[in-house]
Amino acid sequence: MYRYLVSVFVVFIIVRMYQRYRAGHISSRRLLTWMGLWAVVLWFSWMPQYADKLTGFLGVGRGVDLLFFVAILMLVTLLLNVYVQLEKQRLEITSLVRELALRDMERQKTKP
Amino acid sequence: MQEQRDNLAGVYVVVPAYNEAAVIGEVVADLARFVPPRQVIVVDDASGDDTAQAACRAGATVLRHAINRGQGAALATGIQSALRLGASAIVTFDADHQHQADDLPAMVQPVLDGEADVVLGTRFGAAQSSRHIPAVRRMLLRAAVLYTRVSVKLRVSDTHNGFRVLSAKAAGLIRIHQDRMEHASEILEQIAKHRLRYVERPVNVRYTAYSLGKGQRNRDAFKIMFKLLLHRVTG
Repeated sequence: MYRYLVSVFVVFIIVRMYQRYRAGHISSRRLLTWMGLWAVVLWFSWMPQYADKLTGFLGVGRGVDLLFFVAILMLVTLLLNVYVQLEKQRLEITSLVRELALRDMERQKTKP
Repeated sequence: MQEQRDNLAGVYVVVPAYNEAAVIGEVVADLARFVPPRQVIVVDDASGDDTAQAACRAGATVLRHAINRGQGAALATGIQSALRLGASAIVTFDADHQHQADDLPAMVQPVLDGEADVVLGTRFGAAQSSRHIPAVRRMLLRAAVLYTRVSVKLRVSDTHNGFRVLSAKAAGLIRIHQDRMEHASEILEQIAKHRLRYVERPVNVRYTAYSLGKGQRNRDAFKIMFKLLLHRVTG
């Protein structure tokens, strides 16, 4: 049952990602990356025996443990990415505030 | 006194300020004994009180941030404005009146003499000053000194003293990206990165109930450390 639910969910996500790509919100590279990742999730949900082989190879107990490890790694990566984006925005806001203050100073200087 | 003022002709003092209406006038007046008040640049970091007006009344050049960005950001704004105004040396000075303007000539002299690009004020050079540092604060400052020696290989005795002097060259090279209190450590990293010549000079710091109330909390040290490490990891 779960593999059907996972399949519906993955298809939904892929369609949404494609729509965002068509709207120009994400690049083709990002689209392909996400599609690849979700395709892997879909594949393992339908072929769990390969997940068991992989976990055995990696020395992880169960497939679901591997899933958690991978999910945590992905979340940390995403979080770092979000942090980098926020930092970029912070710098831009500060630059803007600075420029406004400096222009105001220049304007005050030229006032008669 | 006039001779001293002539000697400091190209010197601008940057005072980042947030809600310092109570003391900013005295700070500007104190500095004005050594430099013309228009060469004191007060950067009002979107204070909720009359800091900007009080600084204006005292004769300072006042810049205002439209929204609060932090002391580091205000300092960087002040430094840029000083460079645009043609400063040959830029002093950074706290707005809470912990620093003493009497230390200004001795702080600036190494830069004016060409002996150094940066002069860093230290509380630990003057025994009188370091004696009044609260014990926990002293311990955290020592830890920060150790971290600085290990991470950027700078031998300094006081890593978080807001009283410093930058030559115009140093001010042009140093980029302050950290908006909040982490900027102090970032300045040291930039000094090491650009291999700027630096010296330390003792400064007197006056701890009052007012300034301790406004200053950093001891637990902020861990936040600063965490932010600096995160900045290093994410680049």
